[in-house]
Amino acid sequence: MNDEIIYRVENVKTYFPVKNTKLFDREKRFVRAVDGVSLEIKRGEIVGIVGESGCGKSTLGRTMLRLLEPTEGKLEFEGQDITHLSRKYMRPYRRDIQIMFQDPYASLDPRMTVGNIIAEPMDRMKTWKTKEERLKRIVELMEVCGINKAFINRYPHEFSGGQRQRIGIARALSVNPKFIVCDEPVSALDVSIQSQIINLMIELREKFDLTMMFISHDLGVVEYISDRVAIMYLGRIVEIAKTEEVFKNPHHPYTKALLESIPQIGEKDLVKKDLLEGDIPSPINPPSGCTFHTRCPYAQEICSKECPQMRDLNENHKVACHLF
Amino acid sequence: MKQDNLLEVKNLTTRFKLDDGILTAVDGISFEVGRNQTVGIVGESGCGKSVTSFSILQLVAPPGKVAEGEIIFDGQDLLKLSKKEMRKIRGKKISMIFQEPMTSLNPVYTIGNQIDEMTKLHLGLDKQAAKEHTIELLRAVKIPSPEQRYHEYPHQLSGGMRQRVMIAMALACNPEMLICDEPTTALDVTVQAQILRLIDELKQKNNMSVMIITHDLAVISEVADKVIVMYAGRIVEESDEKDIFTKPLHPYTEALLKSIPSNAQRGEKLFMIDGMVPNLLKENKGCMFAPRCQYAQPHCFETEPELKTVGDGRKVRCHLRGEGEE
Repeated sequence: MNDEIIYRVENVKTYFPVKNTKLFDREKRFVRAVDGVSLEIKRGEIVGIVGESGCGKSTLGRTMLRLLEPTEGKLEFEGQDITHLSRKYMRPYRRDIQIMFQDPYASLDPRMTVGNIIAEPMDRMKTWKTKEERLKRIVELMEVCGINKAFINRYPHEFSGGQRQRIGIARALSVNPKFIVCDEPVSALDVSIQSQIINLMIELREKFDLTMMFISHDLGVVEYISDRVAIMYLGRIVEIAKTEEVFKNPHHPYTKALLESIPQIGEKDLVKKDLLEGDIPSPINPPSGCTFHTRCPYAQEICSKECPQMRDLNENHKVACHLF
Repeated sequence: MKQDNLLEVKNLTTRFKLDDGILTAVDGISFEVGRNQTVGIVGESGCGKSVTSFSILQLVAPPGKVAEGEIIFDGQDLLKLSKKEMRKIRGKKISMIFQEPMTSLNPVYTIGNQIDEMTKLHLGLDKQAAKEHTIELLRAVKIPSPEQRYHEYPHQLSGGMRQRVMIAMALACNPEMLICDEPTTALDVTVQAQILRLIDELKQKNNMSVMIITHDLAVISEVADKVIVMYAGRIVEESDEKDIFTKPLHPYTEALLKSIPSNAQRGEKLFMIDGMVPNLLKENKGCMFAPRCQYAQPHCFETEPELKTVGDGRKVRCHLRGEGEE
């Protein structure tokens, strides 16, 4: 891993307009799914994005792929500003940035054969010249991802969840991407299958020199796979640091609470732990100041008034909290 | 200790008649749930853990059918009861919480309406008493401003709140036993912890027995007194909560524990269980886990091992574990 930054996200906001339900209500409301995120991803690293549902982690991933248009902010891939590129000029970057989806049942077209699914990005980008070349590449990808190449003409419904996720990986890899956004790639799988897929991802990362953004709500998986971890809450990153730092020395009260809540094998102390109260507030009407102050056990007066800025604790550890 | 068991499942077998053959989802399982005990059933998808709970409540939908066995609840064999008699037990003495709080609540009735229905039916309360009882229940499961929530519809609540409503509904008639089928799988970790704690508190307060079904070993280890591991419709290991996680006896349990990422060191390869769960439609010979087992011996593929009692109160279904062995 070197220090070259492959992807830079600067103060990105992605808002979704909300339909007004009242007749004379003219006020425009938005779901602030991503609300000012800045992130730098270095070449070759795996950055984990963790948060509870509705915190904007998937929206961030999709915005970075420009599957969603950011409302504000800047996206920079390999030094090039891609925020406002037209479809045509965006196309070469689509090759470099790929995605892996969560649901292996919904993300594969049931009417396409496995071979065609894997080759779809290649067909779109026209990366092959002859049919033989295309076939060779498909077989190669199937072998790399551990799918029996005899299954090339089968349909997705004939495969189990783990196998389907392998097909999804092969598809993402088919155009030799540099950066892959993995959106909850193992959440729908059983533990024993999950470990197969995680091992495969790590293996492929080394083999193809990939950079990954790994979005998950499963802290155990993220701890295992990521080099750095960012914790998101209500559309903002509240803490980002090296993985060991986050798990051994968490600073933000939300990170601490999140780590506390994970059930641990062999520890029967859920009843004693300090748990967070309440639910995540609505992202349409987020709380003022620090969005976590409504659930934070250490909240002070300033927290409800001012939004804390990201501060450097040390070179690799940033936190957005008034207490630090 | 025998009379302390609230529920005894004996040799339960549930089969599904499908177009491609007969699928034995649950194959001759036996276990007991003691009074005020929390029993956890773990296993991967398709291992028959949910079918077990549906079988107990006789909610297995056709083409599925409980083919054999006895389910003795409080001295009564549930399988011998008529539909009408069973309805009196279901919801009143044994309640169930389902995984998907959104799909298990009726979207066109208010929360209050749905819980009232239970108490009116089972406890014979009138309208006013039922409402008071419901608000009391909503308060017990820690729903803020229960009087207001009473009049709201399921879609107005968050996932965690809906699961609380489900719990309130399940507890409406003070059941003796609560079956939770993946109660927290659809929830976030912080909410999951709240719900697990709530279930535990209510269990102590109401002196209930709880059966928790989940695929998450860590959840089980936090709440259960007794753990049952299922694989391919069979119980492969049964043990007290503590021993099973430190000294698993069955290779499958061992492998499951090893493949959890948080148990592994970074940079070290994750332990993998090769292959997949066997196809239960086919005739399987020998130990069901043998094809994926790293310790498998030739005879594992020939004869299926029995569930043996090993050491104190532990049971394991494996040829490699002898009787009386610690």
